Amino acid sequence: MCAQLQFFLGTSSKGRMSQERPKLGDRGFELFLTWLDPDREKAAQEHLRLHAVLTRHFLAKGCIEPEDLADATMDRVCTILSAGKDLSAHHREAYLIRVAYYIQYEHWRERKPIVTLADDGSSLRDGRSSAAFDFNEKDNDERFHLCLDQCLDELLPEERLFLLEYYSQEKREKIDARDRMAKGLGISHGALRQRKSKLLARVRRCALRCIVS
Amino acid sequence: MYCELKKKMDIDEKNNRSEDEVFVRQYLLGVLPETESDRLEQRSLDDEAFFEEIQEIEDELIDDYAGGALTEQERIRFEEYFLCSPERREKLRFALAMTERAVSWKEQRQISGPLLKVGTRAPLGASFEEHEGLGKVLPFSRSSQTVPAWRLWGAIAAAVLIAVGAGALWLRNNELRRDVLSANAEEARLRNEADMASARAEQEAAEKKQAQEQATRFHDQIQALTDSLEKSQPKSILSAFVGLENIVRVTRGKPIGRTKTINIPPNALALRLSVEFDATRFQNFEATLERGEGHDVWSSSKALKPHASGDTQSLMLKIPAQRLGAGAYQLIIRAAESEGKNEVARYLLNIKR
Repeated sequence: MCAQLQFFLGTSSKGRMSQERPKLGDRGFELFLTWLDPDREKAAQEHLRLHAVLTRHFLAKGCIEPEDLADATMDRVCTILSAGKDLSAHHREAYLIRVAYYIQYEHWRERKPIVTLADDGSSLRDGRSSAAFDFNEKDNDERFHLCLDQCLDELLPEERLFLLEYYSQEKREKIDARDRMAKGLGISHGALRQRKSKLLARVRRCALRCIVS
Repeated sequence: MYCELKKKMDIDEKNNRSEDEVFVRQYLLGVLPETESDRLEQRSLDDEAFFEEIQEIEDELIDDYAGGALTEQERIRFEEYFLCSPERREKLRFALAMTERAVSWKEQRQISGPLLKVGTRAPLGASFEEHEGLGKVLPFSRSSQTVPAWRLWGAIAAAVLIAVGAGALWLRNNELRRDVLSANAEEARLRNEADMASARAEQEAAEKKQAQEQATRFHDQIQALTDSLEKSQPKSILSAFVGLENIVRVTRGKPIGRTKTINIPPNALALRLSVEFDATRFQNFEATLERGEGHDVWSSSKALKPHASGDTQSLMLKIPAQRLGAGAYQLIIRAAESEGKNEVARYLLNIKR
């Protein structure tokens, strides 16, 4: 089971990212194209489209080699298909994004941090990220907090209170507060977490838009 | 490391975390055994909902770190393993900023007053207490204001009404349950009766069929016996005499005569009938046998010669038995002379078979 899963996910000790690229004519690649579309021409178009989707996805995650990671994601699916896994029931784009999640973290863990040195010799930032904005930079910090306030203000009052209540507790009290909130709202812990994640994602997107504008 | 993990699991039980949540947190911190990690990854690829749950637990882990809610071991794994990507680090910065804003808001709220109501938008830089009195309170916010008496009595009245309603529903439920049970019993009884009636009908039908088969067998046997009896008996000619007393005479305008009954056995070939009548001057006769309303059944094919005996004459007729079905007949004797056919005598016969 373990060995098979390792093969599926490329998690063997040889390393996940060091697999050889599949070529046209390879069984896995042929299966991959068929999975995209039985019509070869349409499959090629779908391949290009999904590659672009993955590239944008990795770029948004701050990866500096998004195209390579998009390739690696597709290669991983070729490997999974050639191992006999039936993916016909899966939505192709959603499945690739899920695979991309693991590819991304393999990539970050295997890469050595690139540290840019400041003039005085102190480490300035982790050069692995292509993110245009660094919250730690002092000039940006003030701007960030202004944007955060603005985005919180754009929420409905109940939503804003919910987030503030959620984040206002610390240490052990934080966990107890979550239970209290879930009970108060009559929902499960998981549903509370889901609600918070969606709300927070909205605020984060808003804040990033605000900062770069 | 795994011992630490087990300790952590004990804590997670206290934190009401599901097994999935515990595994995902361990996976994200890189302390889940490889086999389990592979299984988790595989499952998340196949199950989109589970994949989303992993993302949410990832966010929660970041929140816990930002709020100082992780254990020492977890905190180290978080920093060394989990924070590998810029995206996660940015999420952490965001969570830290959110925590900072929320703690600050909480402190201001505690200073200004415990009840927070919202309803209008106010600049976040200002205190959140500007919302007070303008909207609803979230369920988890606690209020220290005194409750008005009318509200208390209203709540009591509502509770009483609910209790009465619940009691009535309970009684009605019990009643319905009894009805259902009774209906079920009645249904079972009717089913049983229907089954028994059906069984009886089947039995009767079987018996009837058996009786019919037996009757058919008996009929066949009777037929066979009859056939064999007929075959065993020689075909015969039946003789009978019809005398003067059987002649129909008209007295006072009414025909009067004694009916002659003749039994014809099944094996009879013919009926030999000796017919007596008063002597006439004629020497040639013919005979006709009629049934019902003048329907001829048989008639002599040639002129019959009489035997004379004193004051009477007699004729010998031979009628095929097959012509003679059971019933009433009239036998008519006529003179067959050139001068005409005068009726000489008429008899009433009753044939039995």
